Amino acid sequence: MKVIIPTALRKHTDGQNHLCVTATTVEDALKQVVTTHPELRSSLFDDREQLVSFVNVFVNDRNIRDLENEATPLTESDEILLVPAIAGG
Amino acid sequence: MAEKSLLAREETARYARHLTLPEVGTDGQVKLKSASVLIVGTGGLGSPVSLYLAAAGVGRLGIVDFDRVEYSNLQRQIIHGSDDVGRPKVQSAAESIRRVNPLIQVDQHDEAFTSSNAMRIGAEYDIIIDGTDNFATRYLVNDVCVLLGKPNCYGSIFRFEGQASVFGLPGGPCYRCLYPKPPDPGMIPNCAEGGVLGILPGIVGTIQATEAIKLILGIGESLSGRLLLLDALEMKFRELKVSRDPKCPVCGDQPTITAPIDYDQFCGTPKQDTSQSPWDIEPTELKRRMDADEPMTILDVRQQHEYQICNLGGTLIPLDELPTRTDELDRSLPIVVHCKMGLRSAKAVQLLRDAGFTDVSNLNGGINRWSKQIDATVPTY
Repeated sequence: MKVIIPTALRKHTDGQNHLCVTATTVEDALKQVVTTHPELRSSLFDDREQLVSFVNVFVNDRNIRDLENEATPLTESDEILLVPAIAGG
Repeated sequence: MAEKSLLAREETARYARHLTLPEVGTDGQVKLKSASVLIVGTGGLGSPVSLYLAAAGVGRLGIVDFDRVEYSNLQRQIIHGSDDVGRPKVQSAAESIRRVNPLIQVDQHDEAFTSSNAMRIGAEYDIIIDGTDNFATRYLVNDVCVLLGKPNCYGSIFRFEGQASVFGLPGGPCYRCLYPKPPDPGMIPNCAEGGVLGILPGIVGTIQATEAIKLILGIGESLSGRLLLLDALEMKFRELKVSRDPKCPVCGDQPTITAPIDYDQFCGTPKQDTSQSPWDIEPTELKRRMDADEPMTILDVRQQHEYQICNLGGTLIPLDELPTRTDELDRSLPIVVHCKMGLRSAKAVQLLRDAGFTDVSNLNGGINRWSKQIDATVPTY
C-alpha cells in the first residue's frame, strides 16, 4: 500500500512523493516508513514515541483519530496520507 | 407606483451574470451587497479573495495587513503592482479593489491582527477569511471565529500544496480540531524559506472566496467538515473528512479558551528580543526617552537608500564610514545607535565604545522591531 508523503516532508524521502509498505495496521506502516527513512521520525513522532499533533494521518479519507488511531487496521488497497499543518499564505 | 428596485441600474448591469443565475438572482445579489467579509492578510491568498469578492459585489470588505509591498511579493500577490513596492499593502489592495468595483466599501486595517484587536475587528464582519502566513495568526483567526461565532474560510499553501476548508460553522470542526497544536518553529518551513508556486494561492484563494460567497447566499455544500488538499504538481485534489473534537479547547463541549491567548507563546515563535549587544536598549525604552525629550543623539548606521525607505530622524553615518566620522558625534550626549535589525548597530556601538564614547547603546531589533512594537507607520523592508 502507498504512504503519500507531503511536500513538506519529502526532503526526508529523497524527494519521493510516496513510499510503499506492506502492513496490517497504521502503526506498522508508520514504523516501516521511519525505519526505511529515519529522518522522518522527528517529523512524525515526539520524544515519547507519540504521533505529533501537527501531522494528521488519514487512511483514505478518514483521520485515524476518528478510527482506531495507530491500531487502525489496513487492507492492501488503503492509501495512507500524512497531512502536516502548513501555514503559507 | 412601481416598487423601488433593490439594486441600482449600474449594479444591475454590473452583476447581470449573477442576476441571470437562478441560484443567485436579485435576492442573492442583495444578500451579497448586504454582506461583510474580513480578509486577514493581503498576500497570496488575500489577493484573489479580495478581488473576486469585490467583483462579485460583496458590499463591505475589510482588509487587515501590517506589511508593506515587497518585490518578492509580486510573483503571486496579484492585487499589488510594481509601482506599489514600499507602500502599505492595505492601501495598495484597497486601490485595486476600487478599480475592480467602486460600488463597494473597503475598510483598511493597516495593522497586525493581534490578540488585542482581533475580537474588535472581527466582530464587525459576517465572515472571516484566513489568508495569513504564519501559525500564530492562523490559531488567532480560528479562535476569534469560534469565539465570535463567525465562519472561517480557511486556506493555506506551501510549495505546490494547498489546503482549504471552512471552520467554525455550527456543529462543524475548527482548525484546532484538525491541528490541536502547531509544529515547533522551524519544523515546517514557511514560504519564504521553502518557496511557493506563484499560481497556487490563486487556486486556493478562489476556493476560499467561493466558500464565502456560498455561505452568504446560503447555497451548495460548504467545505465544513471536509479538508480539500491540492497537489498542483500532480494536479490532484483529495477530500478528507474532518470531525469536530468534543474535547477541543476552543470549540469543544467544555472550552478552556474563552478569549484570545498569547499566540507567539503558544506557537513557540522566537522572540526578537534576544541580546545583540551588551548595551542593548528596548524599543520601549527609546520611546520613553524620546517622549521625555531626553537629550541624546540617535545614530542611524544604515545606508543612504535604506534611510530613504524609513528612518527615525537620526543622524545618518553608514557603518562603513563610521570609523572616519566619529568626530561628527557629540561626546557629551548619550547615543542610541540603530540599523535595520540591530546587528550592524551592535558593531557600531562596540566601535564607538572602543573609540572612547561612554554612553552608547544599541536599539535591539533595529528599526524593524521599532516598527512592529512602537510605530507601525514606519515601513519595514
